[in-house]
Amino acid sequence: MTVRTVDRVVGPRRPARPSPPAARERWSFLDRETPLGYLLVLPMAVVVLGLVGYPLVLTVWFSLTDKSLGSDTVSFVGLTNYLELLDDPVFARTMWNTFNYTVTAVLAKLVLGLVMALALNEVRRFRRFFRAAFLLPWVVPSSLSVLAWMWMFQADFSVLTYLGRQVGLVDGNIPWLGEAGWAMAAVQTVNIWRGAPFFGIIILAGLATVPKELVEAAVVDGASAWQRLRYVILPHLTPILVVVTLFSFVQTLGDFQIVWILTNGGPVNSTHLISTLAFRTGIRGADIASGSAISFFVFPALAAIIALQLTVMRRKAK
Amino acid sequence: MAHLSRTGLTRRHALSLGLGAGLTVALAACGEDGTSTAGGTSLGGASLTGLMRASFIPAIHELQQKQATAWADSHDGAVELTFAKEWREQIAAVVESRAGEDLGELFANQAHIYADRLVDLTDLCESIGEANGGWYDVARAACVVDGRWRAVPRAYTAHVMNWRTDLFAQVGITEFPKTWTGLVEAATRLRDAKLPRVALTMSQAGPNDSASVAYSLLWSYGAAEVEKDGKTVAINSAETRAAIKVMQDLAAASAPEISSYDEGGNNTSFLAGKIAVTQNATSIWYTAQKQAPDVAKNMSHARYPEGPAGHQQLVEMNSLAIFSHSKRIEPAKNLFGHLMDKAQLGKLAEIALTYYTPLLKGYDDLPTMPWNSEAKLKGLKGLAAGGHMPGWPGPASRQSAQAYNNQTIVNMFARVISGKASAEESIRVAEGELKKVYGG
Repeated sequence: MTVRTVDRVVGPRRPARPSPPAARERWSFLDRETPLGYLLVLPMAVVVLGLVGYPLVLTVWFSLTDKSLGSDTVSFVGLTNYLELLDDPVFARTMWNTFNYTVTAVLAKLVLGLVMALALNEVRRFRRFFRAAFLLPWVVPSSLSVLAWMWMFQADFSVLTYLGRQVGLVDGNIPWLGEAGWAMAAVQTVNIWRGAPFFGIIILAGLATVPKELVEAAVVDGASAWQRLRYVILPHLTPILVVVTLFSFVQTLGDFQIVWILTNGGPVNSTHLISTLAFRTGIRGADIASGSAISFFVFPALAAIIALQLTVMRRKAK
Repeated sequence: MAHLSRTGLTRRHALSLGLGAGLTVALAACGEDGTSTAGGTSLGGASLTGLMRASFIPAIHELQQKQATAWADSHDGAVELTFAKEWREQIAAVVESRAGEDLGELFANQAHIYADRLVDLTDLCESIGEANGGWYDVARAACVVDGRWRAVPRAYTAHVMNWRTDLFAQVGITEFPKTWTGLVEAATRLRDAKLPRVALTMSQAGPNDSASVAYSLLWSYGAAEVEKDGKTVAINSAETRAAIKVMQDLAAASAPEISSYDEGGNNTSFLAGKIAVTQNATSIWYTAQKQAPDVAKNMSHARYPEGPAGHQQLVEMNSLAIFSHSKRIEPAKNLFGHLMDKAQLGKLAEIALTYYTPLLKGYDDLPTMPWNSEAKLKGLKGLAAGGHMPGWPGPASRQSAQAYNNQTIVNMFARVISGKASAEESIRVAEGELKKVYGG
């Protein structure tokens, strides 16, 4: 393929301005593709290093010291903060909570997202309206939507409790945010409600790539709807499902607002996630060293997920 | 070869222009604002900025901004106060980055946490104390670090019992119980009469309300999380067991929602007539007068009950501090002097209905103070006399602030009333957490 370089566009010709030879030489590297490429990438690299790399390095450093917020004296303590966490029952509970919260919510979002996508794929009328409507929970700022959920979980006036009472499922008030099991279910529900549309829309886009001829051939062969899904559609969707699931794992692992706004990690630390415990310890409690160590515990899991995600994406690209 | 655009601009020219513009913006962002006021109290046309606590009473914000603006008008500048619900986190960021606002409203023990980066306000605080009958002890405990005042104890938010006089009357009680066991008795009568119940928040989602009851109850039974030395953990005691027993009895007769409330949940339920008693600032009454006049008419306020060790109360402290990175330290000090002047602070205390109660003894007998002018607030005079900071009887410290933020004492009670642990188990967990914090 030949690339034709246009060195002049149509228009009145202007007399070329002679550049001084020294200046021309100084800037001539901009005309070469490789240095130019690096130069164009440089601003974004600086931004990423500044906003991600620097805080990350700082977090690692803090976690190896006895740094407190606002304190001018800092000493290196090695792995003490990490070792203390291993002996901390609140941290152990938080690790379990984070695992439970993430795995349950991601799996539920995957299933609901798939159902949502399959349903939307069949809709012929008002398709755009339904797509927009399903996306709303994901689009609305989470701090706002969580406040609405807070009202729905309010101890005395929960609309969910009211509905439960109307259909005879419950008698008194449900302690949505006051009992460990209910509270975890409540925060997971909000996460699922918020995240399922993301799955739905991505999977819907994936459904468009499934060859119609294959589905039609399966119909002709007498395959049931379940068989078509199991043996024709899902195999085609697998790469997308893997990517979106891994992406969601990363997002859910770092979730903060839902738990912080609804339960503050309670009752009795039963809904604390790594992020909320790190925030409480590092910012509210001013123990930024321990807070950093807590937040860093999630790093190996995140790194593994991201590595897996990149591998899958690379294979998919090939 | 240089690629020409329609305008004749080459790629290298465009890049050079872009780099130049970027550098200009970066240099401008890094530059000084040139408004340092090292000497006098004039702002020289600049602005003083501050991070303040957002309260449930909007009039408090308006008045403080108005008072600050009045000062700024005579000091050739402006004062911009930001009232935020998450002001504590914002202050943490400002202190740590040594950039941003000039001053801030600190909460609880924060003066001890950030002492290294706060301006010494000793002269100002001592002179304010002398002119106003002296400070309550708790004010010194909250703001004096290593002998120097690091913040001005502006006021405390009085946590009180908000109670429904009409409901209590229905079970034959006309005065709020003086003791915790008396409150248990009242709660039992209300429950048995199937009336709205007592509901003192004891949940992690309502940290300040819950801590207020948890610490006050603990202390009034002679228990404490740490000894006077501020190092030896003392939670595992017979007094703690006695306090937990009272809380268990109270919870058994209370509304089950006490484990679910956040800071606003109990307010909402009280205003809706769902509960008969709750701990809170007097902001419930402020709101009730506007939104639930029947509730406002039939409610009153009482100080926390006494235990065997008398009346003890956690003080929710609000203090004003200047960050050491500020370039307007003298104007900020002068502003604090203005805000703490009786004309300003008195007015604030008057409208705040004890949400902002001065810690200066000279205010106790002023006729305009809410506890002297309003019958429903009469019992709240001099509440700070029995007031303490978290960590008492040890000194207020970084460690006590950490224990407070970990909600160790709140969770010790909450664990037992939820039925998830026995008193012994819960004390053991709390002891472990406290030892980790205090190192004792």
